[in-house]
Formats: sequence, C-alpha cells, structure tokens
Amino acid sequence: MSVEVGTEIGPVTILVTRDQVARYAQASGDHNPLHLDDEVARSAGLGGIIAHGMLTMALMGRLVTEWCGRADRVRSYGVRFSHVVRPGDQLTIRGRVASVDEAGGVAHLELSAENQDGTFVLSNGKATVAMKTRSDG
Amino acid sequence: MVNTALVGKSYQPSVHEVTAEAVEAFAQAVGDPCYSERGEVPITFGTVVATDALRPALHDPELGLDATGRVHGGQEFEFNRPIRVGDRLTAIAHVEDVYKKRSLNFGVLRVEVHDRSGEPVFSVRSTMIVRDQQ
Repeated sequence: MSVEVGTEIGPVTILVTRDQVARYAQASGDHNPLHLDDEVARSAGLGGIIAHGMLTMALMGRLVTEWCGRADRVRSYGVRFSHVVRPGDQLTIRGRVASVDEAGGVAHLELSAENQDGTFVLSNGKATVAMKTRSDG
Repeated sequence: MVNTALVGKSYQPSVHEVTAEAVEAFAQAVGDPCYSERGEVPITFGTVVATDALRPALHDPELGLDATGRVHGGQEFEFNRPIRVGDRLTAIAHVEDVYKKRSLNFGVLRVEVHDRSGEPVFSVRSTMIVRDQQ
C-alpha cells in the first residue's frame, strides 16, 4: 500500500450523547460523578456533566482504525484534551498523513477534533500506524 | 505539589485479565466495530487495563493529584503489540514528571504493561492537571 503525505483522513462527524457517556462510564469503570451527575458537575463549575476525555479519544481512535484497516496496526496514539465535550456536542474529527517512513513501514498521522463551534476539543492528536503489506488484508 | 523528588516513584502493580465481555462492552460503548468484526481490542482499551494501577498514584497525597478539579490533560499509548482477549496483564504506574506552569500543577504518570511472560505489551502516559487552590 502506498500512502501519500497529505492524504486526508475523514472527516467524520459524531454526536456525543448522554446515553453514550453513561455507557462509557459503565464499560470503562470511570464513574467520576463529573460525567454522570449534573448537580456535582455544576457545583464543580462545569455547568453540567461532561464527557470523559477518554471517550472522545476513543471516538477519534475509531477513525484511525478504520483508516488503517486494523486496530492491530496502530503502534502509538496520543492526544491532548484541549476543551470539554458535553452531551449534545457534534464533533468533527479529521486527520492527515503527516509523514511516511517507508523503511520502517509506518505512517505518522496528525489528528484533531472540533465541536460545532469550531473549538478544538482534541488537539495535537498523533498516531503511528503500520502500513498494509501485500500479504495481509 | 511540585516535588521533583517524586519523579521515578512507582506504585503497587495490578493484574488485569482481558475478558471478551469487557472488550465487547467497551467496543459497544465507543461504537468501534473492531471487536464485532475482527475480534480486535479497541486501541484505547488500555485505559481500562491501566485504571487500577493508576489509582494509588492519583490518590497519593505526596503527589497532590487527588482533587475534585483534576483535569485530564493528555493521553498517549505506545504499543509493543496489540492487547488481546485472554491476556493476563501486569500494570505498574510510575511518576514520569511533575512541573508547574503559572497556577497549574502537572503530574505525568506512566503505566507500563507486561504480559505473563514478562514481555512489554504497551505503555500509556497520562498528564493530569490540578490548579492551585485560590
């Protein structure tokens, strides 16, 4: 597979829902009330519950996996959480191929996610993925 | 909170069994078809593996990250190999860095994860931020 520097990845848009935040709390074991209890979140000055940063990271991770074809090809994946995500936020997630290391067989991706107001919620997203070879799918 | 003597401090290891049920629930919660279609583990599932190992660090009074207003600033995974259902993983948290920028105190925690034969599987770096009390 030849991958060209500058290739666009996505964008995809994903609506974050209250139900999804609750299910993520359950599945991840992160029951911090800031993600579940509006009262607690308000008293912490957040104005209501916020999504787990790790949920947003997982949503972006789906795009990385879909683009490279297999989760098993992902060698590294990192983000900075730059703004809160609330239920009802519509996220636009995109990336591009920043560089290709032909000898190492990997592509370096740059990724970001912004909300409906154009504010970046994930910034400095980076992933390194192994490129497909002829022998695998 | 910034006490650079804490850099390098490590915490009690924890053991995590990767079950099909846990991976399936996680994949469904984040809407990732990688498990249902190919039996793969979503790439951020490692956060579940690291949770128990991180807890003593997050509650370490010396480190000062145990605050209601703690913010998760960043997360980075590096994989030696993919996590697989059936893995029995040992995770251990270390303090990688502590620093201060204006009123913000940063704690960088790194969890190293090995399989039952002692081979590295992945590591994850979490940056936590706590604002100075007013």
